[in-house]
Amino acid sequence: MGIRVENLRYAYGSKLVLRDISLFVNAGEYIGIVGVSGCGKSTLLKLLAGLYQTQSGVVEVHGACRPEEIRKNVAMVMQNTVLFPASIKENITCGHPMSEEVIWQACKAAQLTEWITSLADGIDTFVGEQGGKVSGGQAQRIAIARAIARNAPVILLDEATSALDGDTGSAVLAALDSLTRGRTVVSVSHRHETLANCSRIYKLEDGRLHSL
Amino acid sequence: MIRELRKLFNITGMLRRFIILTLLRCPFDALYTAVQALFLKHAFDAVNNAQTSSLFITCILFGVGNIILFLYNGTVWTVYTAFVTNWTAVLRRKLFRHIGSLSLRQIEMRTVGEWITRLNSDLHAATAMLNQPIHIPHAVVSLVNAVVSSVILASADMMMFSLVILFAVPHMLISRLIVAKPMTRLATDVQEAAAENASDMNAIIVCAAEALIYDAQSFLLRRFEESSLNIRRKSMRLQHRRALVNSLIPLMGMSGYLAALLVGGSRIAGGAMAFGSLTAVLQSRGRMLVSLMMFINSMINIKTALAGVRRVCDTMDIRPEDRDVA
Amino acid sequence: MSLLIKMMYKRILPVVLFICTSIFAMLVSLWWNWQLRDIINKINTGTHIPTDVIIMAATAILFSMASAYALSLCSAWACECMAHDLRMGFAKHFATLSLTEIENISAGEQLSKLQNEISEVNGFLQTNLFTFADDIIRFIGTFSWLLWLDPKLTLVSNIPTAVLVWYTVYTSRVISEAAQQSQQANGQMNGFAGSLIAVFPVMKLFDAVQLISDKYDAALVRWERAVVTEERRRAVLMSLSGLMSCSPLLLLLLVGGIEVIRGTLSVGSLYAFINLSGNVSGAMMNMPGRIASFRRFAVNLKRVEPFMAAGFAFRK
Repeated sequence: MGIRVENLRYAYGSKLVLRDISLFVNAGEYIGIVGVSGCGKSTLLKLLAGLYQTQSGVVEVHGACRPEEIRKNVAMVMQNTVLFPASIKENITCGHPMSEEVIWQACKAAQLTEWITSLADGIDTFVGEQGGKVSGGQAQRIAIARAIARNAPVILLDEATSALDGDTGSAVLAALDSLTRGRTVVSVSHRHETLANCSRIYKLEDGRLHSL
Repeated sequence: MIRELRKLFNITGMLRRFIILTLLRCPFDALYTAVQALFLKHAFDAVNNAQTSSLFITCILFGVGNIILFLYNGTVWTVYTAFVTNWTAVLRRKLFRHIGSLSLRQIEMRTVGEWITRLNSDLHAATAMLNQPIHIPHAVVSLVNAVVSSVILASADMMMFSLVILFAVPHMLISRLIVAKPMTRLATDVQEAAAENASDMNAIIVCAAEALIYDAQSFLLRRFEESSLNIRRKSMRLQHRRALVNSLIPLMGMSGYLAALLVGGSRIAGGAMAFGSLTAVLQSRGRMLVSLMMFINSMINIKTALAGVRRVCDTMDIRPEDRDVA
Repeated sequence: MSLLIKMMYKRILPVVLFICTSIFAMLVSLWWNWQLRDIINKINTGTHIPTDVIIMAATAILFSMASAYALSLCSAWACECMAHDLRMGFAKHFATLSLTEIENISAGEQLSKLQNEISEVNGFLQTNLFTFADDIIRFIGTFSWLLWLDPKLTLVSNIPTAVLVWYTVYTSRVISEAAQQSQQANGQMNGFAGSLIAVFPVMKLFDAVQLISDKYDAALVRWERAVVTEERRRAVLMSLSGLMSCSPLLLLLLVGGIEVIRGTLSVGSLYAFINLSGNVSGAMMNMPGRIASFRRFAVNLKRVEPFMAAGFAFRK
């Protein structure tokens, strides 16, 4: 099923940020998009995630074209992780019914098990407002666990590995590896070297995609 | 309570002006009570003695007295409101500047909802002490009025005064025990629930992208609904106490009235009292009870507003870490 | 105003309960005054008061107590339910926005709106709307009963009330014009509170505390000026309405007193008239303030109404 983007244009008011973008990603393929800050990478990713409504052109993700349908097929991990002011468990389930087994498998794949078991309230620990009570690395792994638990066929990564530090970086990378294995992945970054795992890399420049 | 108020006035200053203006507001209610009691006494005496001309003169004097009283009250009110607005502006300015002088670390120690609540709800609650009806000014005015009514009543009829006190004291004690005492705690609970609710609202806006992707809007809305219902629950606890006090008013007030009528009636039958005097006594009793009620309600509202005052004072007590800015 | 109707329709049960309790409380109050009239007539003629009259009066006191409790509880419950509906409507509005719309929103400003404008609407519901309704019910009930008791005395003593009604309509308009200006200034100030928290990191980073504080001070001065104008006007107009509200008592004693002297009215009835005149003139005395608050409430309601479309969309 994969991803199909044809003649996609998107503008903020009169400023055109994406011009006639066409992109095909096969199911199970891992591609990367690189570009400088403000070139429209995140906008493209939000369109692929069904967060923005297309203005012209086609976006088809895993056979779905309507944004609300697209959203059912994707999971997304961003550099600036946003957590709900709720418990770790609720951040993973997002309030949906989910078995304990699935939750703990997601935690294990996201390298969270050890840390969670060390907490007094365990998986029911409150993460604070905007994740204020957990570190950046822990927040990102919770976001990855959330994406794993969703079991979506398409994974979108927005600068997911751009701000990793030495201590937690390897844990996050391992978690990301669990998340992306066997799935269709689009990863965007402003640094070329963070897209080493990609089978194809594109550069987004002046609103257009160029194959590298 | 006094400590918190002193703290609040330490922040704003202007305590002396507030005391003078509040005292200037006192004579109106007390004099109005005296004028009404005198009017009823003389009017009923004139009616019972069938003296139409005396009734006319009493009515004219009552009208003139009222004109003077309301002219005075309007003038004092105008000056007082200008003062209170100025006082509120000073408090707002100081709180805003103080929060602005805190470090980012200090701000991030509390939730966004908490800060917004401190800048809005808590500030409104604190300023309500001076600028809303049935708070400090009314407490002072009603206390003075209650004292004046008591003096009029006691000098007119000591026995009736004792009877009124017999019904008024338990009323005040019960009101204080079941409402005034726990009011600050109950109001603090409501404010805390409001802060929690504001944080949940913040999540709906800030976590919108994640909520859309993971279909979690209903989850966030559910959380918001829970905290909103929590506000309702906490508020109803507070309202229930108020309802209890409101039910005490007819119980103690009307039964006291009935008792005064029966005692007064037997004395009129015995020739020890005139009907005009009984109406004047009942009028003074009514004003005294209204003043006491207003005093109780003012104290309840002050206690409720104290939750806001405390939080405002707490905020002002935070010492800024950024010395250059502070 | 359609939002208020929708809100009340949604919470029809507590609203109807409140109205029923208010009518019951008014009837109990009239019944109590009927008892009082008999007791005072007996006292005035030096007759012994029978035990059954005292028992009836005591029963009226108990009913009055129960109705006061129920009235407070019903109005509080209805208000709290409506406030909850308002909050939910506000939240649902944001939950239904698209990401592009929500990205242009300042969370701080919206939180301020949640706490200020919705709180103001809620505050009015709690302190004015239901008291207003109760005043009207008492006014209608008492006035009708007094008319039945002595039409001449009722009409003569309440002639000034008609002037008062005209005056209150006039004053409420003047007050609301001044109130609108202070509300606008207040809205600006509340916006600042939200912005302060939202831009806090940037403000610290670029040392812009003074800039923001100066802007806040300017808004504060505008607000202060508007509020002082409003309050001065209110003080003058309401003092005059307070003075006018004394005239019913004056006319009652003058006209009623003459009727008693002529023997066409009993002292007990005159006393009941005086007791109940508060229900008529008191309601009128509070009217300018209540109408002004109602106008202010209408402005606030209009401001929150666009946010409530999602919350009340599925209600008739």
